[in-house]
Amino acid sequence: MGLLHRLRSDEALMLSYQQGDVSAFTTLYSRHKDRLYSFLLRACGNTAVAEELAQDAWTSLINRINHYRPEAKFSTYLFTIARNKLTDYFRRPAVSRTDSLDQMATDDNYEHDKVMSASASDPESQLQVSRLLVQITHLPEEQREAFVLKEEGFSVQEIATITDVTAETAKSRIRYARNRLRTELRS
Amino acid sequence: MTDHNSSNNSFNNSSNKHSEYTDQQLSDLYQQAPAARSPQGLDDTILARASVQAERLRQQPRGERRPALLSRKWVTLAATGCVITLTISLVIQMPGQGPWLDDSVPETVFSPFDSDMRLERKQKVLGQAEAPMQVTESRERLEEVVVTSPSEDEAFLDAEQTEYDAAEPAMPEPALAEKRVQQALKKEVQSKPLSLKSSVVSSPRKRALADRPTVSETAPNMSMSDMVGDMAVESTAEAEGQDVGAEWTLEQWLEELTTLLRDKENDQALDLYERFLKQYPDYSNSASLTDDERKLFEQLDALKKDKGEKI
Repeated sequence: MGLLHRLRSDEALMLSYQQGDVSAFTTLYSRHKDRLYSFLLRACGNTAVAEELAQDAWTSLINRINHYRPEAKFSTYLFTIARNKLTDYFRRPAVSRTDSLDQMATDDNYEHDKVMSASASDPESQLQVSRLLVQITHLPEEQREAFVLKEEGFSVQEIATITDVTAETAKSRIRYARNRLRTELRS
Repeated sequence: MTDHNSSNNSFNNSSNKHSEYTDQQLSDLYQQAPAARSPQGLDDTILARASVQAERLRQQPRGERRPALLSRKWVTLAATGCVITLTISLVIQMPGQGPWLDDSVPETVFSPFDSDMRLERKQKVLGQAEAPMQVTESRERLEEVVVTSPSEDEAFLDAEQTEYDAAEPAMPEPALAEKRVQQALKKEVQSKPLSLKSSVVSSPRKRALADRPTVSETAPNMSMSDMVGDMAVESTAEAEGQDVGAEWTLEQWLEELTTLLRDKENDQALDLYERFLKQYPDYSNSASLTDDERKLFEQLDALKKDKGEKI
């Protein structure tokens, strides 16, 4: 059953889960859990918040399973839900957030230690990676999510669909984000 | 891809790596970051919720798992049903509106029920809502026309026919209409001098009524309205016949009897003959009869005898 599920598309697995097949969802979850969590972590910059948002996104998907239609790619559907959760999080009043993105960036504790410990072979590269991740958190919200989605493997059109903008707008946001990161990393 | 090519062309020297980053280099840097792994606690939580939801989905009836699709199907079915019901109700309520029930279509094609429906529609068009009363009223008015102007029989007939046509649809109870007509005629005849009534009886209308086929003869090809109209006309004739011959001359009596015999209206001829005998009891036995008169009375006596034997 597990092997068969691995050969099936995301959409077919979702339809199986609609019929109550929990193993289909398990396969689906294993395919997308890390990618989704990574997107949320890079976009919000906090592990606790990323975990909370990921849980909200997956729970929302589970609860709305009856409303799913295989009209679009499942990954686009899932990341649209996650992006909406992220937007809701940033629109909350700052005092009600569990962690402030600016504060995390200022404290410079975001991922820095993990990066330094994970790839100790090239300290200079470690430093650049760490700086990149920090600078990503300094990007405007729209540019940040567009850039992270692009680096997570989505096409411009898929990013446009997830962020509910035109493809040209998504492309511009990615370009602005890269230019800004270049500038920050050079300095 | 275009971005990558352009960036690769401008950045071939690794010494410039940190002075300017290409899109590809930015992507490489991003990919070098430690992979973000979903926490195990999050996985357990999500999978547990998924199991609960899957159990719930399995327990749901199959039709309830896709409520949106199901509701769409039901909406379509309900809309179709409404359209069909509406169409049927419209056809039932207005059967005469269609071109297939035009007046030009022979009435024998349709049943008397269809004909009545068509007459109802005609009544609506003419605005004749109280037809039973109008039958009586029109009869009275027509009698007045005859009384005041006996020479206008043709106008009388035309007007009467028009009134009957208008009253046709509202005569679902022929007996009631007949009764009303009889009552009106009785009242009218009793209130007028005999000389005036005779003009009604001896009018061409009486001849026309005598020449008309009976209801039973025409029934197979007649509509309900025609049958009802004939019944009313015959009842009128019967009402008129109650005073037939009251002021006739001898020649009129003989002419009428001859006509009835010629038309083989034996019953009417016998009735009229009995009235004649009451008025002229000895005339048929007098010696001054002509040959024609003698033959006439012989035929009438023979008819009377046959009828008596049958009874």
